[in-house]
Amino acid sequence: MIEQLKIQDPDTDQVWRLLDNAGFIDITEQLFESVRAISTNQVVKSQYFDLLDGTRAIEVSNPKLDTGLINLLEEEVAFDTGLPQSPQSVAAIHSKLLGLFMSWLNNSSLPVTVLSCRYVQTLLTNFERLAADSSISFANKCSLVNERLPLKTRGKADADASQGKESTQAYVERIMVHKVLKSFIVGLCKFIGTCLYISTNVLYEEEDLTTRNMNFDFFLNVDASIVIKELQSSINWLGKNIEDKAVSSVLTHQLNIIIFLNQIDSVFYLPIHLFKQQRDISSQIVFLKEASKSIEIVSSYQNPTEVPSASFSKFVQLDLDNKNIPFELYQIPEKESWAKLSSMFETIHAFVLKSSQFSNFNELMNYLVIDIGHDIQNIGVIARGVFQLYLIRDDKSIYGDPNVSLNTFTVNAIDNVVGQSNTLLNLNELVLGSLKEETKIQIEERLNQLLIDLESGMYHNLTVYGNNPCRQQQLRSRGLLIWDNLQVSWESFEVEMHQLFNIGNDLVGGEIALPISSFVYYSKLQMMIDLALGGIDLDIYKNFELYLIYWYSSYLIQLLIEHVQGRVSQVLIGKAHQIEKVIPKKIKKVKAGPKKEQLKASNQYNHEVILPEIDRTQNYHSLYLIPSLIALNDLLEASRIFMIVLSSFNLIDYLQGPKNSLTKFENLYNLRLKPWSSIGVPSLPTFKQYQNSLDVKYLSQKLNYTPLLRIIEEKLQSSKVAHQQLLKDIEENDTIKGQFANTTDSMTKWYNDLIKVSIGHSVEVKKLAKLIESTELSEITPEKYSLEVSQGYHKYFPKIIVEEK
Amino acid sequence: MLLTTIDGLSYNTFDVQDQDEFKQISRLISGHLSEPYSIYVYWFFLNTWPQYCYTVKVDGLIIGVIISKVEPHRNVRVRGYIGMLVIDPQYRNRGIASHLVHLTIKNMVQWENVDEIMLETEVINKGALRLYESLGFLRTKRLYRYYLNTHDAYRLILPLTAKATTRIAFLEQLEKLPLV
Repeated sequence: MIEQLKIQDPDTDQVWRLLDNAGFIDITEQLFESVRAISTNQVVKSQYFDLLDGTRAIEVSNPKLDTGLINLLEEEVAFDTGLPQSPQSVAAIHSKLLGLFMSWLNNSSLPVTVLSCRYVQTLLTNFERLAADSSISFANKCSLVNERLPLKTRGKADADASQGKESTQAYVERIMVHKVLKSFIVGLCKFIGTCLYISTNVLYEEEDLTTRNMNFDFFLNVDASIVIKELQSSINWLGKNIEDKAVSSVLTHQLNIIIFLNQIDSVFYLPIHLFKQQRDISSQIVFLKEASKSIEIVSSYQNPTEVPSASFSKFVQLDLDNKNIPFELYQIPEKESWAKLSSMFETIHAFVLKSSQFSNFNELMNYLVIDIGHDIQNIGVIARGVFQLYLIRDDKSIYGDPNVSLNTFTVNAIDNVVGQSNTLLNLNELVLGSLKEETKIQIEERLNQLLIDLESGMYHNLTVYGNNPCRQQQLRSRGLLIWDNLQVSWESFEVEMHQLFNIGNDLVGGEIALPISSFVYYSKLQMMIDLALGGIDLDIYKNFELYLIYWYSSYLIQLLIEHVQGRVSQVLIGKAHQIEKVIPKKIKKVKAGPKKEQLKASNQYNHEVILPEIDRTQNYHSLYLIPSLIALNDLLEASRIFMIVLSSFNLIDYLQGPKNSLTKFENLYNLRLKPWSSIGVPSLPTFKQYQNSLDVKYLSQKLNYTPLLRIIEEKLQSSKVAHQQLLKDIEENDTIKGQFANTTDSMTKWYNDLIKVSIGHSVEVKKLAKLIESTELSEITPEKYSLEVSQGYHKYFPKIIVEEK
Repeated sequence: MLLTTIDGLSYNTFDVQDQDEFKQISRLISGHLSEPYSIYVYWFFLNTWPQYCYTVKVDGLIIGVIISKVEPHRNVRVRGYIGMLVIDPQYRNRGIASHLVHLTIKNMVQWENVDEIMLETEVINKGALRLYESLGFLRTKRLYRYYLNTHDAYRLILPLTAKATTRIAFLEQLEKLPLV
């Protein structure tokens, strides 16, 4: 039967067959005969076909799921991509394709956007068919001649021209299709191929991007330079052959946009010399700026001509090997697509340029956290993907800096928290000299493995920033396990090294310093806090859970403050003490000779380089990090205590959960805190502790509320003042502002929003205080007052308003 | 099979032999859920777990249905999953969905001692969120562009035992996997 189904006469292999049943063979009877053996109510499937496949499966005869039932017009089926078109018509196709390209990136798929264009489908089909034939040039493989139409009627790329019968207009219109439009489509498809490459590496299919590539590889293996050459050739031709300057200009800019798109991947090869003075790289990314200008010109062109009728349709869904269910064509408004296209170029330009301007590690990290991580929902999907590949290159270097591998970046990150001069990261003969060779090897092997693990942790952290907001949360949750494991392994290694071999950094009193474990703990606490607070913006928490999140986050922030003020600070002081006091004494005792000279040189380096760095790190912690954590914590605490007051009037309940809940509240508490539950240190607060924190029995009289409300007001005020001071320091304080040079705007917004939260909360607290003062406590009930929780000024703080019913 | 009658409406277990019931259910679901499901999806649930498919009938016509399953999750805990719940708009706001969910959960707990019950719903489906969250389901994850219509989804979980609140890596396997 299969033989019968094969096409016998290629010349009559016409797309017309899609319109009627001519040439098709009715196999209904055979099909029913073959399925008769299946017993009723049995699902026959491959063992590899699961529920997920089922949810995407095609179902014969179901109009929602069977692409075979898509109705096409006759002109859609027989659309001839080889026919000549006017320059205006081609300009219209170009613009429509760019719009569809941006629509694809806006949550759609290729078959209902770019691939709905018959020109694109024809060209890719021809290319796939001829790809392996080395005797045909690349340009000829990318033909727009629809070979499936009857030979006599189909448009041709060059037939009449050779006979000298072609008029100038006919020549221009033929070349407009078979050269200009062709090169545009090749270029666009090539960039789609680049997008698919980006997607495969750093994006999530059917989440960030939905491909459905219909088995086309979009010139993945074709060099971009070949494509750009074709585009350039078209631009040259346009300049010589199109008299209408307006349309010629628009066509040229459209082709330029495609060239610029295909230059985007050049940024992956742009080496940045992090934290160093370097040549201005603007000239190397000028195309990203020029793209916006071209987009402006193209978008303002009022084209009197529309795209050829039937040139965009659902044909591809019906015609090609399609594993998907039918979908309507999709296009976002034209204005929006131009804005998004422009924004893609501008975003890439901005982050490439900024990467060349960082002067220190803090500046880079603040940029990653605030400008990228917290603003990710405003960055388009391809710019997001490009950013990730631009940040961590194929060779795992950071921003392509040959001197900043993942290893050096990790060391940088450690130095930035606990200072340089970490003994275990600088093991050499001076340190290991007295040990047996076998022991040395064992130590080095273990250290190398631990460093690899630590690099993996850092790599994981770096992948968080460029991901979509939902994935960021999932990556943070996974990160907790990674960093908790790192803490266990590094702590035991540092302790062992100190106890067995007296190797490692000391505090001032000679106790073990644990600098690497301290850094790991610091990183872990940061991630724990980010995970807790990150859920607020995603609307993960119900109102009755907000108290728990603030309570737990505040607890974690306090631990972080204690850690930085305590252990981290002691480590830094210990290192300074070593350099200033301990090492000079040791040098004095060493007899004159080469060893003494070596130690002296090392001491000089310590004083000139390491000590100032330690000083800078201490200043950053004390002038910025600690105050910012305290200010945030004051706001969390003020909000939390305000919630206690509200719960005392039963305006909200934080201890029972939903009235009709089918599970214990303790289960809800434990489920909410599940991501943190496996962490060894700090251990999870118990449910009992949570309950105790909400004890409001003492709030029986008006008098009892006064001190509580005063505490809230004081915390709001102190948070506001601290944030105002931080803003000032970021802009004016010489020690601080250098860490934010590239993030000033976003950081300013971040802190201004937090200040607005303080002010907004303060207004609500005052309103409540007045209500308590003027009303009998027994009158403040849920029957008379309600609580409204809505979007606030800052992503961590929704507005909480008490309203009279 | 008739299970109970509430407010004059009959609540029934799906009859796997009844082709008409199957057609009615798939018609009701495809008419009111945003995701288009193939016949395989219906059969997957209805054939494997008919005991967790309940219908509400008025004069023999199905006006509400809930379809669920129970399976081990990563072989460490028993997870109930509510796949689909649809009530004919004409009969909404009468507590029918709530009764169906209660019925499902009660039986999942009674018959298979499930550790948790899970489902996904669109972030904009306020009705579904209100219903499930009133019963104690928590939003545990936001899933980016989860549905074909590109809406985000929430994963909701009702935790019933301590296993539901413990990370997978820290739970013992339900049974030893056969050696390959």
